[in-house]
Amino acid sequence: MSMTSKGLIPAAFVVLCLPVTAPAAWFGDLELAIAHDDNMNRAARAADERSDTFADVELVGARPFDLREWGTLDAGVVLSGRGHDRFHELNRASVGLTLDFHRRLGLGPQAPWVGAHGEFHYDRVKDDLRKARRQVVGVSAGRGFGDALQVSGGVTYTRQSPRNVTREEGNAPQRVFRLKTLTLSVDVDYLLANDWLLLAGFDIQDGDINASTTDPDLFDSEPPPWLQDPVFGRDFRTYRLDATVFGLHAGLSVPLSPRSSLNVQARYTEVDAQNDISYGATRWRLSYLREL
Amino acid sequence: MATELPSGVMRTAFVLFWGLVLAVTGVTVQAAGLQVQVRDGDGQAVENAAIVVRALDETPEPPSGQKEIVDQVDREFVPPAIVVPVSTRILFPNNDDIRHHVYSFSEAKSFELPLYTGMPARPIEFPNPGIVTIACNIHDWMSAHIYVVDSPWHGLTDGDGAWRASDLPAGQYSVEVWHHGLPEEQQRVGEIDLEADASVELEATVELAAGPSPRRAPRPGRRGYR
Repeated sequence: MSMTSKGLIPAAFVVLCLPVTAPAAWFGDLELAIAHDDNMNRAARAADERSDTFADVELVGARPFDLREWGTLDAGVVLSGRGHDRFHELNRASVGLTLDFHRRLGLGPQAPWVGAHGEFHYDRVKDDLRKARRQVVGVSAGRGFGDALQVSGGVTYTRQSPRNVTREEGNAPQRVFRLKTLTLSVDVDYLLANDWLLLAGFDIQDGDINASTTDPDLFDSEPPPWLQDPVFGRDFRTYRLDATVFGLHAGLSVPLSPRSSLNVQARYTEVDAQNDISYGATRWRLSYLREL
Repeated sequence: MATELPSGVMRTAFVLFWGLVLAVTGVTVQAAGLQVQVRDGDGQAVENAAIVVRALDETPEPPSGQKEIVDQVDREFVPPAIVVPVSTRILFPNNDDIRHHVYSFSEAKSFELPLYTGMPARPIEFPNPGIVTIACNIHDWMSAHIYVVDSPWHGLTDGDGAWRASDLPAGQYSVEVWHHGLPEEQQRVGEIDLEADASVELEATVELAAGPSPRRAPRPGRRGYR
């Protein structure tokens, strides 16, 4: 059991001890999305870049708990799936548990708020190497400015722990998909008069990433953990690198009804990794969200 | 030789006779009708605008001590707009199975009902005329407007932007349209001269401020917090 998942047990105990009122009914969200990534394998060399289109479906069911003057807590279950157009080995189904805490420090949409969240997911990927547990914990805060502008920021720690990998070729295959990252993010929402929502954000991530290449001589000596990764092609190797990732995203959310929206988002990431390795990737995502 | 009847009996007979005539013919003495049609700058009907009619000489006091209910169902206020006379007391029951935190910053009435479910302990009295906007501090999209008026002649426009009254005494009146998107100085939309048994139609075009309000539709990347 990882440290993070161990920590969830006392955290759950603390939650149970808080002055929680009787839980209310379940609420749910359904998201259907299609996305395209122009550098799915995070390749540094242009010749190695592989693009792909994939579809996502996510179903969230959660129960809100009132913590009296402490705030609001949502405990949820997330079921999700992803299907790829090209790289079917990346197809996956996931199940997760989430806790979201929210407290507003005042009255009205302009009042500041603070939040915290914890997630535990199990990703069952078709490629055995990538089956993993994923834990996420984070804190966030934000406030409104005027009737239209909301600004928020947060820090998120993510840890991915793959199942043991022993048989694949590489120098340390069991470590390649073991990732830890710390992300600092800032998000801005701007609500237009017609209820369309403009979304923009910036994030910096420090920690581990995966990157693929067909170049066997990318590292002259003491290469970082790598394994032979046939998912993207016969000659591909996937490395785990220490990197800083800069992310920029912008999007538009159009309400289709009071309980549903159509959303389009573009995200660009720029990676600076060890040994002067760098790459960029752009992802487009079109999604339909519905409150159930 | 005719026998002279006492004057009191004559007076009673006179009143009964003409009362019977008016009842049979369906005519109401000095009552007049008014229809107000409200549209926005694009010609679209404005629903849930409050119409307030005042006599130019003297407007009688509206009935006092009324009681009303603004419910909370499926994380929405029901109804989303209500017009009430001053001194009305309104109850805000919460029929959802999660708690709501109702508040208002409005000048006409500011109040707060901290997190609760079911029936709150007491109703809220609205002693001052004006527009009171209420909201929920947990669910930002929840809002409603309470139009507190100091005239007995009032109502809300329907889905066609229309409001009708059929029992106004003959006289001269001002007509006001109250809407949360309409500045106070633009509320007065006309004056009318109502004659007995007549009917007047008034069309009002108002320029509503198109300010954003928190939307309920979900946004990507944020789940939870309901």
